[in-house]
Amino acid sequence: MMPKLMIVDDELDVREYLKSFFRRRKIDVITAESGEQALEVIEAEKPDLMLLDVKMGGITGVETLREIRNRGNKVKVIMVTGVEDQEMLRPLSDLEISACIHKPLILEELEKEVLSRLVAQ
Amino acid sequence: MFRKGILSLLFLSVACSLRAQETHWVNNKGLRGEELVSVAACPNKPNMVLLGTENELYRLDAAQRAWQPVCGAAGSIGRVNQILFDEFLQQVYAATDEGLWLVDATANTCQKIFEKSNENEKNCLAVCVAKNGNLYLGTKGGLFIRSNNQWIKESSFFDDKNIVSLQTDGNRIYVATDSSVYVHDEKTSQWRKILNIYMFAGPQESEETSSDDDNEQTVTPIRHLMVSQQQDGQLYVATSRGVFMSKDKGEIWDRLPLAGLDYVYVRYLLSDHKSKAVYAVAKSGLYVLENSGWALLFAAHDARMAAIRGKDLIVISGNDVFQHVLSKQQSFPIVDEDRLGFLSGFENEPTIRQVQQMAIDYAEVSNEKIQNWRRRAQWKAFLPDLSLDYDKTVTTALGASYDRTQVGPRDWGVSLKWELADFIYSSDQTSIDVRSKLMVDLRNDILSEVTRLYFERRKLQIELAQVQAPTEKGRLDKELRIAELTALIDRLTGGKF
Repeated sequence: MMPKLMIVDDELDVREYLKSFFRRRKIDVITAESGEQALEVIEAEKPDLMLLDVKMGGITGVETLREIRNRGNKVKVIMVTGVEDQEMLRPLSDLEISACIHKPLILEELEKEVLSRLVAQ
Repeated sequence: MFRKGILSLLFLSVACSLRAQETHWVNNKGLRGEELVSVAACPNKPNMVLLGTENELYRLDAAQRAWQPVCGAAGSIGRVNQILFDEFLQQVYAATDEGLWLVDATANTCQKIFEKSNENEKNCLAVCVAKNGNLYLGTKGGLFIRSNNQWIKESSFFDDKNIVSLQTDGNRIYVATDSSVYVHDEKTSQWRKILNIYMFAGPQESEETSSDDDNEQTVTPIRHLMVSQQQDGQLYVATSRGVFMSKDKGEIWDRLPLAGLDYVYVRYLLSDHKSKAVYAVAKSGLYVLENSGWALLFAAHDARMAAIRGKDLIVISGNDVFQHVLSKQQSFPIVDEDRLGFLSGFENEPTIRQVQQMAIDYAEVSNEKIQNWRRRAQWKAFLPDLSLDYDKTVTTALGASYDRTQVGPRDWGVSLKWELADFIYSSDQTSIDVRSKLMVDLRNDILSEVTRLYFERRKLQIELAQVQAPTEKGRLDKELRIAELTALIDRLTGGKF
């Protein structure tokens, strides 16, 4: 069974590029364009790992993660953040995350982070 | 006579069909699947091309059909880091991790002329010959100079430094270590440092330790130094922070634009003294320097080095050899009668460039997309935020002695607002930067994969046609693999292959 990755980002191009990249690496990929949508589908899809953008329209990535944890979901999460979003990361200190990756994304680095966590699964 | 006539017709038909192709795969028969590390072509003898692998040196046989080992009698000569054709002394040298070898490619003999017991000192990375006949040898454990057949270590200045590249412009010797470039000053007879790459900020710090050179024994900031032969004093250095150029023998350095390069880390540089073109070899392929940046000539999955051979460039990538035609006139230096027949069977297939373009178009990762984004972001700055309202206007007037409220008729209101800061920089630019970086990485990933699949498929097709699978099962296995590769390429190109 292929490992499953959920990509949550409000930018369509980012979602599509990452989906194309990881699918060619035999990883099943589902996407969500907002925190709200991610919360709707996460229980049904049960991803092994989630790439979660911090800054999004609607609820932020941090708020999304807090809600996920409040629901008792222990899914591994890699936060994706821009340099200017540092302040938004403060609340993460009490939330369990696997890693924090900064934009601009480097596919090679992202691939290592994702594959190492999916293999450990 | 009849057979010759048929072959000539075949040759012509292949010539016509191949005119459309700029790069083609070269027969690697005889190379035993070894990974290629270095390549060199003799300036005076176009048929003399030498390839260096992890263990051996190879040249084309007399019939130009297969590669044969040169130093077979000597056993393994080690990983061949550099091959040098010295026109001045009419010698060929091979710098390997076991020492320096003097090569007679015609007689197929190799003689070790430099050997050390120290692991670093015996690991030879670069060699060049000075005008006075002195031999300069760069090793992992310092610089050695041979004068009057005596080897002397230049320890006063270089100690045990890693010497990654050596060049001469006829009058000066240039030495590149991990992070600096030195020149031997003929006036003072001293070495002088002319470049320290740490003086320049890197375009992306993460690329300093890029893993694109996984197969290299060491990854050093400076990879290669080149002296342009057509313009005295023009130097080029390929580094982890980009490619640098000096027009005045190293006094002032400029970083060349990186536009067009998919990897900052260029592995090798070379120039064509006839056309004055400058070429760069990076993991992702072969590039040529243009006014505003680099143009990709040929995409590869692990390009390492190139050599100019007449009108062509020989490029090594992984365990494959490619020939890229520089001029419009075709040249067929590595052709044999069998191959003519095979190639004519491929004229109906798309070229590698066409397949790469199909893959780029299908994945929507073309350069034009980034330009389009930036253009739209710029235009957006000129467009105001427009709001319209239609409601009743209520006016209240308060005077010293009166209050008056007037409820006016419904009327329209229009508001236009410009964000002046967007003319300079908008948050859209940051988003575009993120997306474009991702897209470039993804494009490179796709090109690398489609190129690998394409040439693996082509190799199998040629093997099948050459009847290299004598058993029925062997033939069936190859045919199945070709079908699988065809399907994979088809998937990457959206069914257009």
